[in-house]
Amino acid sequence: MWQLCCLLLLLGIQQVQAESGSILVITSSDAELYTRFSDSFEMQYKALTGKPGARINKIRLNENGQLPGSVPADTIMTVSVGTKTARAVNVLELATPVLYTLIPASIYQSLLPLTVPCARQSAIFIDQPVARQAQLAQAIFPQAKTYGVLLGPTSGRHRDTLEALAVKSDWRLVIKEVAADSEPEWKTRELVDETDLIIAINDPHALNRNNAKWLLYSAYQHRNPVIGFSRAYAKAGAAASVFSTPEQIGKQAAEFISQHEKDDRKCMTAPEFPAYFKVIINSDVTHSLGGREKDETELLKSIAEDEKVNP
Amino acid sequence: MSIQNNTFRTLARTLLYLLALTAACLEGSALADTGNTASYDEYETEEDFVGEIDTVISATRISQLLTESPSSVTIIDQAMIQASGAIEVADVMRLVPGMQVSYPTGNRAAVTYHGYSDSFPRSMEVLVDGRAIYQPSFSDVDWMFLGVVLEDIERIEVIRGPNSPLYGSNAIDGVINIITKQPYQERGTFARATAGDMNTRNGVLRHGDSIGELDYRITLNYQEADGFDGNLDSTNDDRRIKGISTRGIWNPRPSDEIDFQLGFSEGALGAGAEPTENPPPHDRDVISQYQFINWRRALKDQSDISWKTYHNGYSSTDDYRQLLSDAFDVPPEVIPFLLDGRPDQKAGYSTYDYKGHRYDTEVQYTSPHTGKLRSVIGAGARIDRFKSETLTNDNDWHDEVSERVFVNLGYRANSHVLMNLGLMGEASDQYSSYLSPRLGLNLLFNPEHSVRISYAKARRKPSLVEENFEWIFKLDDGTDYINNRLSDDLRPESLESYELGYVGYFFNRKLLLDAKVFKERTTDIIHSLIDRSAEQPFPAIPVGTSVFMNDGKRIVKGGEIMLKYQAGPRDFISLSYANMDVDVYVHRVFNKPNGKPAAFRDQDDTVPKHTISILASKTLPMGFEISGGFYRISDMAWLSDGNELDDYNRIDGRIARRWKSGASRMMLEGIVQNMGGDYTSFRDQNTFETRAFVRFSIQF
Repeated sequence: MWQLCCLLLLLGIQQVQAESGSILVITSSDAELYTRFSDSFEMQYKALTGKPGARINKIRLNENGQLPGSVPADTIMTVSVGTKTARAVNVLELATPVLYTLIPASIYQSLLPLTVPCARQSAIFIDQPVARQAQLAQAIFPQAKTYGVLLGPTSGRHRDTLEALAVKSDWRLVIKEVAADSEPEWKTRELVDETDLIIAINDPHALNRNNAKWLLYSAYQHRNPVIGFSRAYAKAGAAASVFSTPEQIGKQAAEFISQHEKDDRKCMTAPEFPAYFKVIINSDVTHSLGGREKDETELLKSIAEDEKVNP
Repeated sequence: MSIQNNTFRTLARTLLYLLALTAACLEGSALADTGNTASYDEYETEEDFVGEIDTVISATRISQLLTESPSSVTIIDQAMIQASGAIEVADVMRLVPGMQVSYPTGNRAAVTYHGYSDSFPRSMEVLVDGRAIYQPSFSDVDWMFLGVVLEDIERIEVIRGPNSPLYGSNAIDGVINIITKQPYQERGTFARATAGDMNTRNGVLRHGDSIGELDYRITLNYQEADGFDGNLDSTNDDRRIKGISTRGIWNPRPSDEIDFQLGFSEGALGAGAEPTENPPPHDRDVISQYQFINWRRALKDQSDISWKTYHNGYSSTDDYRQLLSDAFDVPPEVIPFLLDGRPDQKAGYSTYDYKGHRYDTEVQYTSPHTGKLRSVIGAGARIDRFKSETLTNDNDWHDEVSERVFVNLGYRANSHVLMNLGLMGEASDQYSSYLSPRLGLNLLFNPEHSVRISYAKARRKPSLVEENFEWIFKLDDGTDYINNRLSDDLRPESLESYELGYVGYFFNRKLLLDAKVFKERTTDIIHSLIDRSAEQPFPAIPVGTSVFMNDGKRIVKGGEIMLKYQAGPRDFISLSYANMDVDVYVHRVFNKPNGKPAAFRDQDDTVPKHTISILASKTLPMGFEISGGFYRISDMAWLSDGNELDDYNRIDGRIARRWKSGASRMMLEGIVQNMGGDYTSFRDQNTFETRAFVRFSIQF
């Protein structure tokens, strides 16, 4: 009799597993960035779904940027981690829905259409909404009345959002556009001359990690604070930065998939910007530029609350 | 690895001219003129948003992650400098694994890596913003006359291990690269006053501002202290030093940066009452000055070219003359019997009476950041000059003209394998040309964890003093009493180093672990040996003749580890430990009159077995912060006029409070050095007691 019970129990467990299926997490390497994301995702997913035994299959692309084997048959959702993986996964035409994570919005946009009737893919971007940077700027430097932004071919998509923000706020917006073959440094100089605060937005042709030093240097020389989008910016001389850690994006991805499963929807919801983020203040720079020295946690709380009120 | 001198020098000169010409002709290709977008990645990646900018420049002259450096590198930042409670720049070096700091006198610091040093450590290259500040005379560093104050330092990068392949012949044990803050970081006025034991009275006043595209800072500093209170022989080792320095950075356009620095210091340093020389207390006067200019141009393909030129001048005047009867501690009437009938008279003989100059120029090209291969190539030329009547028995300038070419190639085979090849070729009018190579292989498990294997061969040229030494007593009647210290025909010391290292980050990069095991083998060591066969010019005063020679070898084996946990900008704990064993095979005498082979000298105690440092800092509410350091060096013998010293522990503590008032920021610090029992520094007479200081800073 007990053998029969065991057999039924085993079949029951298998049935539950078959129903729940497994999640496939694909990365391009075992860099700490990806590991931190994956570990956070796994922990949060298991906690949220109440399925500590849920299977998370983690695989890494091979040297040629391809999947090392076939996708496990019971995969119900694929999580693509990072830009390189996104490019590889995009051409695979997987049968499962795909959640792209740790990628810039511009990459997602270039790979996939943002709006389709019933999307089988979605994303959690790594870049912050520009409104968040603007809110941070306003909180620390309320005296700044002219915000400057350098936009290039990639970041140009933010123009409408920025202009809408400027209309709603009491600051004026100055945008300098950098074409793919023009000189970002001179545009930077014009920008710092004409404004009193800079919102840094990444763009391979306008503002990137290679030429950020020049913006930070020029802005500081003109006593213009820069509001950055990564920890490195604040470290290198920006007055403050807003950014998300891989753990925070991992947590959001887990919540996204768990909700998707709960809703039992066929279609994926729209891509999201990071819901969880951190604020870092470079107190030396902020002080010397006459900014309000605020507590980072308090700032974060106030930005988050403001986003709830004005989504 | 000797090569034809003429061929080499021609090559060095050609390359120098070629690079200089390239720099001059790049008018049309600068970044600003044509844009710099060509080689940027066309698309964004996640690295743009999470990429750390944790860079090290010194090890390869290329900005590099610690995990990709071919050498072990310790970075001491401003937060660590502040937390250490250091009053002198040299004291900060205690935080580097395997480094020992000592004070032969209260106004002279000796900093050495892996021990084996006298009061003139001459195997470390020390740079301030790329300017080599070791002196051409003794090849050592006068830490009291660096021309930079603690407050202006942005960070110090210390390459632990030979780096001659990139920095030349004095970098045989390592490189200390002191990087000062950019003037634009130091806008406004800053003042700091320090007072405390030993009658310490230090002051710094700095002002930074800009004129158009030029950012500048001017720093005035004054330091005064009594030296060791507890020394037994009342050595006069006080100091009064005042200095002015300025740094300006001019960016006429985005592609060009011109960095210029000027500095002048003068001081009176107490001398006398040395146990071996015994002149009465008096002052020697030191003047130190430098002029430096570095032009850097960013090119359109993200490469850059730079050209720096500088001059260092240093003069130490100690013309105190003493009666021979006092110097030899005999009645005046005895002197004629000792010195062939000459009457008692005054003589000058200080080792600190000399002048030196260095003129240096260097051109460097750094290849673009992209692609698998990164390279740095450069060439330089240098003139070192030295003059001292008492040390060389003449009043002539002793010059050495040298040229160098260097290259560092970093090849990234894939994301896991990085190879670094460094090669320096040096030629001078004094020695055969030679090459110093370094080969490093970094295996990266991922960007946060790497294992490193490296091999390097480095050289140290004899200093101008070692090369030309002939120490004399210059008598008032114009005759010389040669103190029988001479120089043989010297060749450079040679060091071979093997290293296996690991660098890893943990806990979201908050914890850094840097560990290595190494073996270093130094041959042709330059040191002084006793020549018992030498003639005694005045047999009544038998003085052992000693001669600087190449002799013997030294093998140091050991391991070093450094851990740093950084919880916040001023909340951290840093721990370093070095464990070393040394075998030294050098002779005391190089010939024995009876024909017996000379015995090896026991110098295995010249490298301490254990060197430990721990530094912790914690911020508290209300603007308070507390920090403390623990330092331990086991038994160690300092060479020459140093002594064999017992192990010691030293505990330093600091409590500080920061606050602001209007637009001003202030900090008050209480610092206690060596809170435990006394310890001995460098020689038995120097007792380091507990010292307390108060320091106040204001920025507005």
